[in-house]
Amino acid sequence: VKRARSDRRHRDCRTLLLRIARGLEGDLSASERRALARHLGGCARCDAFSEDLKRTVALCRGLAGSELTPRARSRAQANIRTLLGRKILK
Amino acid sequence: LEVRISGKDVRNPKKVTDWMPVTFSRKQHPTVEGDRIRADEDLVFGLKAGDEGALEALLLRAQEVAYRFSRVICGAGAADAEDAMQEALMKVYRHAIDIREPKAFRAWLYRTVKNACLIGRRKRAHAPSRLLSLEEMMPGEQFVEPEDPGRTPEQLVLDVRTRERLRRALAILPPSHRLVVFLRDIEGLSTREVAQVVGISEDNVKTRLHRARLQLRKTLEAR
Repeated sequence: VKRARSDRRHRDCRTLLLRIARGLEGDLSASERRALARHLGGCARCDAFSEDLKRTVALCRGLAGSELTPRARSRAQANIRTLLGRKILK
Repeated sequence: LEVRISGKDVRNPKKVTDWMPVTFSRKQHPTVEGDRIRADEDLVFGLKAGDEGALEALLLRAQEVAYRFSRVICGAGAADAEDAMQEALMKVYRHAIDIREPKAFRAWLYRTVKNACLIGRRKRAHAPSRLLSLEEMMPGEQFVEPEDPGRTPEQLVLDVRTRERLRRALAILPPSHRLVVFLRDIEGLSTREVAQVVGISEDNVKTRLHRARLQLRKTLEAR
């Protein structure tokens, strides 16, 4: 019975996934945001989901500063030196 | 900042104040995004004044973007990504003289790098991709990392394992969605700039972004 109740409750949560995602971009109206806050306040599962989604965005952000290897950086600098050296020779 | 991130009052964690969005907008992260915007403006002014240092900074930045773009969007290995750097370098160098408006600079840079990388791409290295349904995106298992509320997004350093999982999760996204999440979430462009780079409306950017983030979250769940 508990599981059936929980399933019924979370059927509505599915419709909230996109709303939570829209909320991350600040695309919700004030009333939608309040309604979402109310739901998250009473639904631990959706609240955790919302936090996970924020952390997903934060993880992506962390990728920006970590992708250029020392070898690639040194190759990039060498490319510039070669290019600008050629320009000066002209 | 803590109140905005968690939606809860840090002085009274049980009290839910409001649910606030967390995005990397210029207003919320003035030190990161504001510095970057100012640096870009200085770069454009330097280029217009014929400053060699500004040109070098632009060329380095273009190659960094090209490297990340190749790795994340095209699924290239390190050697192919270095080739893409060179193609982007030449293209940006040839057209650097066209840069006039500081506000349009970032969209211009990413559009130019994107074109250079996609033209130079010889093969698709990614596994077949597909967009999950909302049903499939429902939360299930534990998320990739345990909660650590003490760390802000700026302090979040990705370990090798997490970075690899994230890269694999990005690879499963359809290319059109992967591009949007790369530009918005990894590179930190605004929605308007992403729309200009990709050539779609801002509404379409948001639609793709929301679905892509949901799918990424699902893929990053522990298995």
